[in-house]
Amino acid sequence: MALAWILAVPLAGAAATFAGRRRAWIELIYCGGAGAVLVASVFLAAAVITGGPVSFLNGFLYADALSALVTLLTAVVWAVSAPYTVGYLRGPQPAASPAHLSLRDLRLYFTLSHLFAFTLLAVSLTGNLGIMWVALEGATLASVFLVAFGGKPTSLEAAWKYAILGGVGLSMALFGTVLTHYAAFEGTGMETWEALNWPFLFAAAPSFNPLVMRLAFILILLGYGTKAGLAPMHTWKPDAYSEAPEPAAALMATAMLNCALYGLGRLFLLSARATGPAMPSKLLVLFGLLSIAVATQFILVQKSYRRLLAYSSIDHCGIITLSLGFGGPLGSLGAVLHMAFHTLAKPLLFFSAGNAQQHTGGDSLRNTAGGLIHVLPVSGAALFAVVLAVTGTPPFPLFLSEFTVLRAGFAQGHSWASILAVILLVLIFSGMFAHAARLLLGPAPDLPPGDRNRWTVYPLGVLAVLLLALAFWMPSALSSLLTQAAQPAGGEIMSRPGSAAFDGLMAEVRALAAAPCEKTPAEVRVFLEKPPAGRNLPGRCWRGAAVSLPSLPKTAAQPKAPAISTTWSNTRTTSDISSSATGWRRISRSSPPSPCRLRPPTGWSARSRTGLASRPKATPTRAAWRFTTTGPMYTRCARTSPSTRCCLRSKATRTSSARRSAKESFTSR
Amino acid sequence: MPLLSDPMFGQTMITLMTAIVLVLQITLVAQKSLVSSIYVFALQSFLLAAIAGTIAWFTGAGHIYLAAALTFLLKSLLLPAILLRLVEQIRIEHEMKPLLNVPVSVVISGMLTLLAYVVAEPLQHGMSYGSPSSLGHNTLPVAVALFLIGFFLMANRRKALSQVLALLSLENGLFLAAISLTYGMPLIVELGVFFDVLVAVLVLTILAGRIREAFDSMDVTRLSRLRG
Repeated sequence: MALAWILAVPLAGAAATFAGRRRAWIELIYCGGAGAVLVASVFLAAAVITGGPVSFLNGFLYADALSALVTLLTAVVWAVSAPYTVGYLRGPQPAASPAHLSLRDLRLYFTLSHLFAFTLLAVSLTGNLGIMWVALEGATLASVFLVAFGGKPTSLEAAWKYAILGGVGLSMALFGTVLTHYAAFEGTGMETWEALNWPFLFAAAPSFNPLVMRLAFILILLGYGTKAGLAPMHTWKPDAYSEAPEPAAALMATAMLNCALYGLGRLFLLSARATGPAMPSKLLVLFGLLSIAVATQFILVQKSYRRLLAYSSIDHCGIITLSLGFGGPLGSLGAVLHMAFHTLAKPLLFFSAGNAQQHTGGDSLRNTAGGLIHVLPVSGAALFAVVLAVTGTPPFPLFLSEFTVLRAGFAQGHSWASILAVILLVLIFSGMFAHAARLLLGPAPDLPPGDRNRWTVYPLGVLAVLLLALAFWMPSALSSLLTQAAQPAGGEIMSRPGSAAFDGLMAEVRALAAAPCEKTPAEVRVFLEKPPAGRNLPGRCWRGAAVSLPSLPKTAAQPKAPAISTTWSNTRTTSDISSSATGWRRISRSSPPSPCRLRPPTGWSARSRTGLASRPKATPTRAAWRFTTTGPMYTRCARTSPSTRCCLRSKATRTSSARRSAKESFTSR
Repeated sequence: MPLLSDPMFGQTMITLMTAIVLVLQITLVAQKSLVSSIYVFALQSFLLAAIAGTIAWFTGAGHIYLAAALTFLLKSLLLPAILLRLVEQIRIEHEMKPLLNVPVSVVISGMLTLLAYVVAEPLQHGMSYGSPSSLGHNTLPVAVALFLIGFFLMANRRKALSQVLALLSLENGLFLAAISLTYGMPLIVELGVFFDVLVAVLVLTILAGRIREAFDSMDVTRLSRLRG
């Protein structure tokens, strides 16, 4: 239920804000909503750590440790940025827009911010990859007018580029999602919306067509990579971040970045399971390094500090991607750690830079008098500290996470990539440090003292304390959330071929495929996997991968092992993902729901009704003989109840005449 | 009627309509007038709805009917109406001024179609007869071609509105791909995608209108102040 609450709050907030008539009321709703979401997501994270994944509405909303972490991070950034937003919008606005915003502008801004937060939370809280795409596209659309909020021509330009590039990127991601759905459909026969649910996909991924998944991953990488701002699809980012109001830019640079990387990571896990981790890992390492390199170059020659922040964000996006690509337990831990610490550090950078920009009225690094630290004691000090933090200087926690990433690189044999990354990170450090020093140090400028607005100063303090505290002390609850979040990525799936864990997994899969059908574990019926060699091996049954389902609750009523003339129960198993009887769905969708408990699994004739094909086929579809014991057999009803006309007993035959009669008996019913 | 229940007839019809969809996409590339491009897009969307409707008729699946109906209402009626109204409102000049001239663009579109067939070929190879791809072996390649030509169209246009149109035709390709691979995305996802497309067009048209006010033009190549 916490899942639904988290999503309900920002939606209700958007509605209330839209109807709001007073400034204080709108601001109160914004801060209150953000606070409520933060509390709810803390509860959600606690529930996930102690009790495992939670799901709601049959897996429509779903949270495991990774999604709970991303949700918590979004909630933290939103909660910290809410009071800052209030203060920022009360302060002087950049040129072109009037010094003080009208109520109408405020209503627009806060309503869109609520919707933006809603879509971001929905990305991490839905278990369905299709809905995840819808939510991420929604996040883009909700934030377009936040980018354009300033109303200057440059803001419109940035918003246009953001919307178009985001739309193009996300359309590629949608194609990738379509292909994933196709791979799941082809591999398991599921075609309801549950086929895109994460636990189902993850369990069934080894049965996916590697070719399809490879293409899907490339498209997803380009698509969600555009959204995350990986080079060379990053060009919208400096424009959007420098034109958007500072709090909105902070949300985009942390929460939206996390959400895009979260989607990318999920699909990376799927395709690593379907195609082996080699290809996707290489691509991630390549894009990660390229992003860091592009960011380095633009950071060194940057003229505006708002754009500097955007390139720093590209750099960090590259580091997280690099860590994902390195793989292994360390790599995924590094990615999760860096995501968490970066999310705490980046808003502080944006907020203190925003205070500086609001006070001086410009964001140039060249025409600055310097010495800002004299007039902005709090923001200046925070900016200086956080520049050190985001460049990975000890003792700040980002040093720890970057160090973990590099260790992962060396551990997984990516020495050259790691060395290159270190060189680039040092260059970025010197660039950022030089810029910060030019901006902050020097003789006192001719400006009135600033930092008078409590709304925009206190959030800095909260973030700085959080960041420093995490450098020396990690609460055990948070550390278990982080390690659990790294687990789906750090388990046996991510290990490279050749490692003991990987071989163990493969051996388990092979043993399952070789065992006689009667010994197939009961729960595997849900997760069908193709036999290792050849698709249409006679004498083999389709069997599931019972491996790697650590998070699944064991079903109370185990379905019976697949065998002919056993009674088929059409009841759902208790686990929300199970979507029992994958073969049944296809039949029951085209024919009206039958009161019969038993129906012969005549998948072949079922296909002839749902497909356009009417010709009998040379080989049966998988649905027909998935459940048989000894190879391609056709089943038909052997005994029909005279009263209900339900099938009481099914019979399996091999002859073609039986095939025909099976079809007739099925279609005539 | 026997003809209407013959799957072969349905397959032929789908192949025919798919071919027309591809031709319309290339027409979109060759088209110079914005208003007629919008009409071409509307016709293309109508054909997509018809393809979805044909598939729904032969499979008897309710959710495909719904997707077909939504495509018809949204993409071939509502969105073109919104775009046409905007064109009228802000009285932009109808000429679209592509970056490359028409013959070169059409040749590139042809090459992209060829590429689409190459890309889609291995995907279809493993498909068993009776899977949705047996709707005809041209649906998926055409979908990929729509997608690729949509990208090209996007890069080749200067006007903000024609870029929106390119994005929409690219989305049409996605719809066709989903239909030809899995009889469409699951209904709930499909509804979400439709909603997003509608909102995207609303957002982009409003933004295009404001760009027109601020820059006195809809030429997006003028949006080049932000650099570095």
